[in-house]
Amino acid sequence: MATSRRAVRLLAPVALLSFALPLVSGPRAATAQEPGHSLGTGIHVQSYSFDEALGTDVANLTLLPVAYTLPLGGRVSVDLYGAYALGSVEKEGVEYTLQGPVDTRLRASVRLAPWAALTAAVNLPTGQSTHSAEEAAVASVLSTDLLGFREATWGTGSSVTTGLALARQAGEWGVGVAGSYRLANGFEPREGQDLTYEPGDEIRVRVAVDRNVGEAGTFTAGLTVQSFARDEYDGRNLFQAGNRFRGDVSYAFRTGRSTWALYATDVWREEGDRFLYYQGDPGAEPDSTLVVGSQNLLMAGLNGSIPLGSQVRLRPSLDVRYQSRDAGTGEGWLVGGGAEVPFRTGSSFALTPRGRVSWGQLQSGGGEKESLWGVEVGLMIRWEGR
Amino acid sequence: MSRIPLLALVGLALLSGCVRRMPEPTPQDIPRLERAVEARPGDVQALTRLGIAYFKAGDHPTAQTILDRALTTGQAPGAAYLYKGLVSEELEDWAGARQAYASYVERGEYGPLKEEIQDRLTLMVRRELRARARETLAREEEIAQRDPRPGTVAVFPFRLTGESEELEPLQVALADMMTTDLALSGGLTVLERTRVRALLEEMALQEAGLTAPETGARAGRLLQAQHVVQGALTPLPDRVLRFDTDVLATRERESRGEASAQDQLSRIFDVEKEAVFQILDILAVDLTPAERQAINENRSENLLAFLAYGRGLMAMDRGDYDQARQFFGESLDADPAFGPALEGRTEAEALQDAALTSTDQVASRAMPELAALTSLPLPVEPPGSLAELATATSSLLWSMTHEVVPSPSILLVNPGGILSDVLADVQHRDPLQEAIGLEGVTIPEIGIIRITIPRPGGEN
Repeated sequence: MATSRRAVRLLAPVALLSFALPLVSGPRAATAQEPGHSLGTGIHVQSYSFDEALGTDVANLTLLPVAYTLPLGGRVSVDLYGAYALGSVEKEGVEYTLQGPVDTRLRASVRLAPWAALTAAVNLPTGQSTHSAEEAAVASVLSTDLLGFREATWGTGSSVTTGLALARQAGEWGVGVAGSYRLANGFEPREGQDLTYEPGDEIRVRVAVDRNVGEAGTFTAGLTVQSFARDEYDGRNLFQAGNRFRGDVSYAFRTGRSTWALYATDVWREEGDRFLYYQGDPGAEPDSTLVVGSQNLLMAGLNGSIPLGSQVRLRPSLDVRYQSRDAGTGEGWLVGGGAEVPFRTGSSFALTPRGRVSWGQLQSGGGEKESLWGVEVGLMIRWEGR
Repeated sequence: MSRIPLLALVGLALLSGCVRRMPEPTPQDIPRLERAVEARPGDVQALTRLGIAYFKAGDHPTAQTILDRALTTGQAPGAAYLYKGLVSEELEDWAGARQAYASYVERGEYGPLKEEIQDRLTLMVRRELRARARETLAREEEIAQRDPRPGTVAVFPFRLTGESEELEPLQVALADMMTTDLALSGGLTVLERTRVRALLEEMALQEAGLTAPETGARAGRLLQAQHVVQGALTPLPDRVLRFDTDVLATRERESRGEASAQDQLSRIFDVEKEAVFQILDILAVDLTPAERQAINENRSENLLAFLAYGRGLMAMDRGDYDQARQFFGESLDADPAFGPALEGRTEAEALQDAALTSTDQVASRAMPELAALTSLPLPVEPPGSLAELATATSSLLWSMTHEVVPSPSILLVNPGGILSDVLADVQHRDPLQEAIGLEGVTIPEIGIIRITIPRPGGEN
C-alpha cells in the first residue's frame, strides 16, 4: 500500500506537467523565430593520478554522453540525457572498473509566463545501480567532490523532480526565487544483497539577484539550500544527510570583444547522522547516531571567451578549489587551468575540443598532504536542426 | 522541511505581480546575448539582438558579422535588415546598406520607418555609385581590358563653350534629356546619369575635357560602355545655340559619327531631338513610331522650366539637396506638367531628409520595429555564466530553473556556460557514497566495501 502511494506521488508531477504542456504550448505562431532542436554528443576523459599514500594510484572516467533538446512552440523545452561511462581505479597495480550506461534524464520546462517556469524531470533507472564491491570502490573514488568527476554513481534509481522558478525586476535588480522537490525511489545497490536502498527526498530552494554594473558588467549573487529526508536501507533509517548551502557571487565584464567572468562559490555541507542499531535486533529503534563531519568546498576562478574570428572562440579558464572536512582525511586543494575552442563547421555543426590540467594536494589517512595530478580532454559535437 | 515550500510559496506570491518587459538591446546586454548566441548559434532572435547591441556599442564590424549570421538563416526579422543597413552605412558599405534597406522595406512592419528607409535607399544608391566609381578607378588597368557591354551607351555632360551663366544648366539638363531619349529607343542600354556623373567626378572630368576622344574613351571603358556620347554647346549670335555631338566607340577609341544641329534657343528641344535621332541613326537603332513619338514628347514647354531643372540637377550633383528641391520647384512652377522636375523634387526631398539623418537617429526611431522583434516568444535561454544571466530576467528565470532541476544535458546541447561545468557536480549528492561514508580517494580494502547496518561500538 505504501508502495502504491509512493508511485502516485512519483507520477503526480508528471501528470500535472502533461496537462500543462498542451495548455501553454499552443499552435506555433507563424512569425515566431524559434531555435531548433539540438543534438549533442562527444567524448570526455578525466584522469587523476595520486601519490601512493592516498591509497589510490589512478582514477579515470571516460564518458560518452548524448543529449537532445527539443523546443516545442516557443515556451516548452524538452531535453533528454544519457551516457555510457567507463570508470576505473587503480590501486596497488590492480585495476577496478565500473562501466555501463548511466541513468537517463528526461526533463521538460514550461514557461508559464515571462516570469514563471515550471519544470519536471524524471530520472529513468537505466544506469547500473547495483555494484559489486570492486565497482563500489570505483564509485567511491569518483564521488570525491574536489575532483569534479562528471559521473560517479551510474544509477540511483528512479526519481521525479518538479520545480517552479520565478523572476522579476525590482528597480535595478533582478530577483529570482525557485524551489523544487525530488521524490526518489529505491534501488538495490549491492550484488548479493537483496536489500533496497532508498535515498531521501530532496527539497531545493534558491534565491538569486543580479544587476548591471557599469556599461557592460553584470553582477550576480545567489544562495541555494538543499534539505534531505532520511535515507533508508532495508526499510530502516540509515542516514540523515546534512543540509547543503551554496552561496555564489560572480561578475562578468567585457574587454573589447572578449567576455570574462570572475566567480566564487562555496558549498557547505552540514554534518549528518548515521543511525546505529544493535546487531541482532534489526527491528529496534536506533540506539544512537554517529555524527558524520561537515564538509566545505570553496571554488573561485576566472573564465573567458575570446573570439578568434566569426566562427571560432577561445575559452580559457583558471580556477582553484579548496575542500575542507571535519574528518581531515580528504581535505585538500586543486588548481586547474585549461581551454576549450568551440568552432562551427557548416551552418549546423559545432565542434568543441577542450583540455585542462590540474594539480593539487589531498590529506591522506595518515594526515599527510599528498599530491595529485589531473588531466581532462574532450571533444564535443553538436548538431543544431531547424 | 515543511517550512521551506511555505517560504517558497510566499516568495512566489510576492514576485508574481510583475512582468519585466524585454528591453531594447543595449551594449550592457552583449555578454548575455553573446552567451545566448554561443549556446544557440541559429537563434535568429538572439543574433539580431546581439547585432543591435553591438551597433549601439559602436562595434560596427562585429555587428555586421553577427547580423550577417542572422540574415543567412533566411528567417531574420525586419529589424535585422534595418540594422544591417545602418551598420553597413557606418562601415561605408553602401551596396550592403542598399540591399539591406531594400529587404527591410519588403519585410519591415513599421510603416513610417519603412517610408524613411525608402528615402534612405536613394541616398545609398548615390553613395554606392560614387564608391563604385572610386573602385573602378582603382582597378582601371584591369577594367580597361574588359570588352564593353554591347549596346551600352553613356551620355556625358556637354561642355558649354564660352561664358553664359544662363545657359550653364543646359550642360547637364540636355545630357539628362538625351539619356532619357536614348533609353526610350528600346534598342540601347543607356547608363544612368548619376552613374556617369559619379565616375566623372572621381576622374575630376566633370568640368572640361570631355570632348577629347582619348579622355572620353577612357571614361567610357571604365563604364564598360560600348559608345560614349559627348559634345559641346555653342551659343551663337541672336540667341542661336549650336549643338555638336560625337559618338565615340570606346574600344576602338574612334568616332562612329557626329551629329550637329542648331536653332534658336527657344527651340532647344527640337535641336536636342534632332541630335538624338541622328545619334540613333549612327548607332543603327531603328525606332518604332511609338518610340519616336515618346522621344518627341519628352520635353518641357517652357525653356525656363528646363533651365531651372538643369540647375536642380547641378545642385543634386553638388549634394545640395535643399537647393535642388527649390530649383525643381521653380521648374514645376514654370511647367507643372514637366515630369522630370517632379521626379527630381521628390528625389531631392528624399535625399535631403536622408542626408540630414544620422544612423543613430534612425535607430532611435526603430523602437516599434524592435517591439515587433521582442514581442516574439523568447526561446528558453541557456544559463551561460551566472553573471551573464544577470542582464535579463528571462535569463535569471532559466538559471533558477536549471539550478533547482538540473540536468547534464545542458553541457552538451546548450554549451558555453562558463560556470556550468564547474557547478555541475559540486551540488550533486552521491547519496549512497555519502550515506555509507565511502566518498573519497582513500578507499578501504575492497572486500569490506559493503553496506551494513552499523551497530554501536564500531562502524559497520
